[in-house]
Amino acid sequence: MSDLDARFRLLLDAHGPALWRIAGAYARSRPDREDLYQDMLLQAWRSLPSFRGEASERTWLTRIALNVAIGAVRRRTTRDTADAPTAVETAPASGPDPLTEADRADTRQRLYAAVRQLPEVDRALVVLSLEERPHAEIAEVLGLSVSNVAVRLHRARQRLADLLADPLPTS
Amino acid sequence: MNTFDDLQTLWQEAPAPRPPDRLDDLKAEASRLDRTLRWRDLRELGAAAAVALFFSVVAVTWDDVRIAALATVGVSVWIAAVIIGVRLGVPRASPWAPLREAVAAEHRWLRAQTALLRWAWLWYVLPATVSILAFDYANGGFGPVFPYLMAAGAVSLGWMNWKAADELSVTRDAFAAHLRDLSV
Repeated sequence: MSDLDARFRLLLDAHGPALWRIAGAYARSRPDREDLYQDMLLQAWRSLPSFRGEASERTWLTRIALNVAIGAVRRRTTRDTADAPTAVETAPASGPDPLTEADRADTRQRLYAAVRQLPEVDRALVVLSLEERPHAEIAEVLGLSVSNVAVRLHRARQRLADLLADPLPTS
Repeated sequence: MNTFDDLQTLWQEAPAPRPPDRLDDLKAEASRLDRTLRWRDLRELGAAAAVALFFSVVAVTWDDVRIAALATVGVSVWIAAVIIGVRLGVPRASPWAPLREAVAAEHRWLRAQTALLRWAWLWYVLPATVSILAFDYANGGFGPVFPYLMAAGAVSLGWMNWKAADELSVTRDAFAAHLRDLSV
């Protein structure tokens, strides 16, 4: 295994799940999400030799993921189709109470659906916030000032709360 | 389950697929993509060079069509120069650029591409049609219907490009909205 392979493998182990979640916020169906995730990995692999450590690996990878996700808008406009529901985000049952896990899966699905309804920029802010990224890192990823991030994030979270309060649209 | 902390927990609990065991498929796809992009550029340049070379030879060899052939050489060089000029003049952002920079670059690129398509009848269709009609004239005429056929072809080609510009402008406007949103 080459050095590049090993570096990429470490990156994937550390940040692959976050990329999958980001893909889930921008894709409108399970196949769409898998394609988007693959595109993120592909772009990361192609860009890795040029990575010089100007930002942390996590910031660098998140920028790639968001740029790929937003760029997917371009491909989508010409083949615009009705939203297909994304697969329910079920986590493996770890507790003894299956009803609780079913509730959590349902709420998680509502959360993803609400996030997907946010405008693109709000969505990026909320997703990074859900990933527990500090404001400074969100600012670095988006190219905004830290104070701007704080103000916008407050509004975006409010929008998310409003969407979660509304019943989900029926498909 | 209503505080943002709860939502963060819920979000991060979402199951993720295992990373691929082997990177071979990813590497193969990356190589294929790089090759496609490289060949696309070479193909465009190669086509323009071949047309220019062929009509240069025609201009040197046949006196009757010299002016028409030289016009065709000029038109092919002009078209290649416009395409290359736009590509060089509107650089894409690096894949790891901050989102605002990436969206701004994408918007500039979409604006340039839309303009190229919108005005294709002027910088591409019209010069190409004139050079073909110059051959028609130099040759003594390919027939009375030929100029009309050429005109009809030129109009439909210009119209198709105009429609393509309309479609692309939807995406351009979406990116303009993202950019405004990021700039407020």
